[in-house]
Amino acid sequence: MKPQTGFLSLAEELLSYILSFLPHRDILRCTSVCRTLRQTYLSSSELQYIVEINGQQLLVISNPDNSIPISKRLQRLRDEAHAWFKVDTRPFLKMVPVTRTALLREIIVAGGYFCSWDRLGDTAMIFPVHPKPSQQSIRRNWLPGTLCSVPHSRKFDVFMDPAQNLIAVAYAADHNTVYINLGALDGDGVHPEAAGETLFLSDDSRSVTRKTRLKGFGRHIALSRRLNDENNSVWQLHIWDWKYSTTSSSILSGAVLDRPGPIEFCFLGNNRLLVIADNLNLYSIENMSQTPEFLACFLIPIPSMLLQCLPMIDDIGYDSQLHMQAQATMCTSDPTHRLICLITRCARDNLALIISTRIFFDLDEMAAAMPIPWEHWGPSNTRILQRPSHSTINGNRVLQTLHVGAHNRQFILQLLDFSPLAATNARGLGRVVKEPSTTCIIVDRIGTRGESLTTSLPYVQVAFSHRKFGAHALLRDIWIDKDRIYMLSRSRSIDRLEVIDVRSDLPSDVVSTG
Amino acid sequence: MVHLVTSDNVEFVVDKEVVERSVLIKNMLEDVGETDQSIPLANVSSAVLRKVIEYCEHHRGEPLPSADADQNQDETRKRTTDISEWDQKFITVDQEMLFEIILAANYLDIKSLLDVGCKTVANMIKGKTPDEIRRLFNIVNDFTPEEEAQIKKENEWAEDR
Repeated sequence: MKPQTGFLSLAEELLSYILSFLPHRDILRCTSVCRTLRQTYLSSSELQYIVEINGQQLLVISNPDNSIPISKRLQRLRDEAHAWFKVDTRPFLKMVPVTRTALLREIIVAGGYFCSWDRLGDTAMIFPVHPKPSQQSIRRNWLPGTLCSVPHSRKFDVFMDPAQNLIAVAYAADHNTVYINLGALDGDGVHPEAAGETLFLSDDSRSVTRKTRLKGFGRHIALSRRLNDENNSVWQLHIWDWKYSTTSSSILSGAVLDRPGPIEFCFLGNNRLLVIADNLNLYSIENMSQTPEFLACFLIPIPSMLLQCLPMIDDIGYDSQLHMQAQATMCTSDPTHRLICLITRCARDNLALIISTRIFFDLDEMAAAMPIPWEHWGPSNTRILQRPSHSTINGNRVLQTLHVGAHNRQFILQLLDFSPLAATNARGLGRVVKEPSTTCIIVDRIGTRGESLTTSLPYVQVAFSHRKFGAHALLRDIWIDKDRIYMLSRSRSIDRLEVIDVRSDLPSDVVSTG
Repeated sequence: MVHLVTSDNVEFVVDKEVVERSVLIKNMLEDVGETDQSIPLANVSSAVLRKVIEYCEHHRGEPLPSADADQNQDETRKRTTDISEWDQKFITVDQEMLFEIILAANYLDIKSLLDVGCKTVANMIKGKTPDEIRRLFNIVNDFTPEEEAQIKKENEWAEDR
């Protein structure tokens, strides 16, 4: 008689093919069933690749080249994660001198581009930061009066998205009516994919618009503003599907809080929006023909007027131009498993709240009915970091600077990786932090301390060497993207943007900007 | 018509169009040309071949997946384990037959049938604990307690997220 055909009698190749249909958690469970299945996993790059992608909380967005074997791609993925734990922050190699930038300029490094807008001077610029040979580069300087075609317009905010070749300018031409102009970054005229040249706000309010903020993500653009008239002040948030319609019926509003800046909000992937007013209010913006659908309210024990949301820099577009040839697989951080960072800037007592976005996607049906108390969601899904002087975030990585010494000229660069596989990919470098930490929160703008909060989102932390700036130097801001660190500093009227390529096979660089 | 002979010496006479869902047989026929000689399938029993032919009959005329499409979807392949209704009914068999079908589909190189079989097994595994998987397939735990604890620790991260 023929022996019975059982699961384990299948060839290893078939076993691994079967497992490749499973989510990573089930694959890992199989590895603890018996030696045969463990061996199947250990000899399959494909299975390990699935686990690695999920463990680093990435999404594969395109896979143009299958000629690179999966074992190589797996190794690269691991090496890239590991490279962040041994960044060489020694001084850089190259420098391009340029003129000074105004201190009030709003600067961001996004998608490998340096983008800045000078509100007072009515100028803006964008240029690629040390472009790689394959990069298509956009290089523009907007002189006063050229940011939008309407003469004598007053600009409220400018949003640039190099990945989509989009520049959006919020302005008012007459009275107080606000418009948003959509242009292409690389040329004049209307953005080719835009529904029209101008986005209109549906109400023509006679109130005075103040404290605006313009942000975009994918097909959405949103403008938050405060409206003041004689009697009251309210905040409003208008959201457009800019490729589809120039008007919007997707509007949120509320009573204004005692906060100095505009209402904070951020996009969570394509269809969710988090508004930081009173508390963290989560909305679905999937259906743009209606008011955003309220999904849940997360109570937060820090006054939201103090909270500022760090920009989440999306690097899909950047990579699509930059690494197409060089990389077999393009990944982006999984919007349902990444981090947002809320910071309070109070005197010398900054706090950074790192929150895992999974809480905004893992909702039960009852979530909208009642606000979710901090105790239920906060402690295990957040980590409060104390006194960072600058913070930046990308996917599951946070980079922060901490001052050491008295004169604020010397600081430590610290990397924190919150992805589940961080400890594995650190390969012994850094420190695994699993234990909860307790922080005194800040309750007002002068930095008064209130109750203590304990938070415990685990991470792996590594500190890089101390850096010191000269007597006249000042660190202005830092950013990270998928494979670079950017540090903007000012010394003797010259702004310098230092670029550190994290992948050690590439040399570090510095670019001066102006 | 094509003549196939199984491992237990049963002869099947099948439409060429039907049997050509098997890349193995398709290539064979291309190599030898028109022939009345029967093709021996030493690895496939009559019970299994009957099922395989039933599958091929049902999917007769559907386009074969090209090698190119296969390459592209390879990794971005949605790891969904969706199976069409007819296929699901078709593959509702005992475990031994299921594995035999997988082996036959692999040997005969019928990609769509192989996927139906493998997805079915994957569906059986999904959501189960290691212990439940052992019971499902009658597998003996051959790890030492220390090894098991070690593996469990390594995989901990996937469980609490």
